[in-house]
Amino acid sequence: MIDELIYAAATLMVWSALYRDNPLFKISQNLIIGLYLGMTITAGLDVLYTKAWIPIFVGGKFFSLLTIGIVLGILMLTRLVKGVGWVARYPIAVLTAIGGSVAVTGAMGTQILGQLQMPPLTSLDNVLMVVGVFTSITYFLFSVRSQNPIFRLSTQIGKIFLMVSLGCMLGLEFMTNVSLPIGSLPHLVLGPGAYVTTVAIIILAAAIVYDSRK
Amino acid sequence: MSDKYSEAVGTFPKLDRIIWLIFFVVAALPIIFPIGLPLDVTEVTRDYYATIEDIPEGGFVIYSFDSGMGAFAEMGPADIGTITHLTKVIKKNDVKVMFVTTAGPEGQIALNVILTQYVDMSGIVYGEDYINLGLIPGYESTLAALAEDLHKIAPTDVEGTSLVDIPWTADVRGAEDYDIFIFSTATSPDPYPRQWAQYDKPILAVAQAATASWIRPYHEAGMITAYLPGQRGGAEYEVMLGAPGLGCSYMDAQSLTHVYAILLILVVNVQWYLKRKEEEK
Repeated sequence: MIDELIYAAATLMVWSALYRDNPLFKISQNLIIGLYLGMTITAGLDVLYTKAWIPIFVGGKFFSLLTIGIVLGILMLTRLVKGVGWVARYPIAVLTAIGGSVAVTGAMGTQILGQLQMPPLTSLDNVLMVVGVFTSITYFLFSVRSQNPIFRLSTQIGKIFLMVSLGCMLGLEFMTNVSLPIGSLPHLVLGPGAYVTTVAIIILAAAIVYDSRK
Repeated sequence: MSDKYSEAVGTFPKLDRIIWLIFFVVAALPIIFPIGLPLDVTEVTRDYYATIEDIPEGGFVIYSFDSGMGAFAEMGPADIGTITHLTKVIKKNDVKVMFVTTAGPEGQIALNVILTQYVDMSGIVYGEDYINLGLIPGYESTLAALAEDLHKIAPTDVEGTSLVDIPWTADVRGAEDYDIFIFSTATSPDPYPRQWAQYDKPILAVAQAATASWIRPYHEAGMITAYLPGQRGGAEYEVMLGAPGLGCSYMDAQSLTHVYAILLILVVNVQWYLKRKEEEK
């Protein structure tokens, strides 16, 4: 019950910004940052202990790739020391190189070559997909200044495809953002959270009356 | 908080506040008084269900749980549905499941909430039926390493037990020993097929509705077998499992708020059209 009440109160404190800035919103803002920071530090220390300390100092793996990783991690902290901050560029360079090479290697097969396969034109879906891709590409051919009517028609069709796809993406984005408050609503209108909501409505009504008299 | 932000929030037009108020009322009403609007199950959700149902006896599932509590309302129903289904195939086909988090600490919190509060884990034994590798930071590099050499990237589980000491993980080396990949992500789905599609194993995805259009090209190209997008995907999966839960209860509110959004778009457009006509005069 207590957790439901805290959940409801915290949610409404955040949402109170929709009316106007207020101390409760500021408290909730700092609370979220503090909690998230605490959680991240705890998780980080836990990872260091289980994935590094135990294998190296308990497992005796002093001379392993893990040790190199730890050394690189420590070098990252040199950014905090004036004069030797440049040393941190080495671990950053290693991180960037590894991340880039891992991503690019995978991307070749899946995001480039894998997407170049021509689908069989046996369904309306596939025909639309092929037409959409080609006409949309022509829309972005800025280096070609063609008065060719076929090319211009293609760019116009491409524009329509782009607008439709952007509309779909916006719709899906809306769906995601709407689902977040909807997910919180059962905790606010059902069970113990409903009492907190009632109190919040009374405070809101009082604030509206107070503000209107100013 | 900056002064600019205070000014911006403090000077919200009253109409905006009314729009928000109506939004909350429209969303809350079906939660208090459920309508039970019909919900069609799409082909891709059926494929998702069939893929889990078809995991061979003694099969090995790797589940990268990278969503978090921030996205729980959106992705929770789909994750709960997936794990509930996995518990059924664990009991039926002695399937083994290995959870891991690669993207950030939130994943482990959400996973523990689901396992302890939302899924019936009776009859499922940690260590025998499933294990949790915990958080292994590195995201895409970790995903690649998990597929290449499991024991190298994760010598122990979250409790510190060596994977060599767990009978069903002792001989598992990498992707060739996994029967299915599952991932749940609240951010970009790209890294998962990028690192796992090359192994020609089924890949299932739980993602936000906003990233459905992102996943679709991978699904069309056969790299991602099936996916559950957001609350809608979760609700459909609950219907497939025959156990309507959180997702289905959210869908009425989703539907009504969408109608409300369409009405707002129509009203604003008509208003804009009339205003333009007036200006032309």
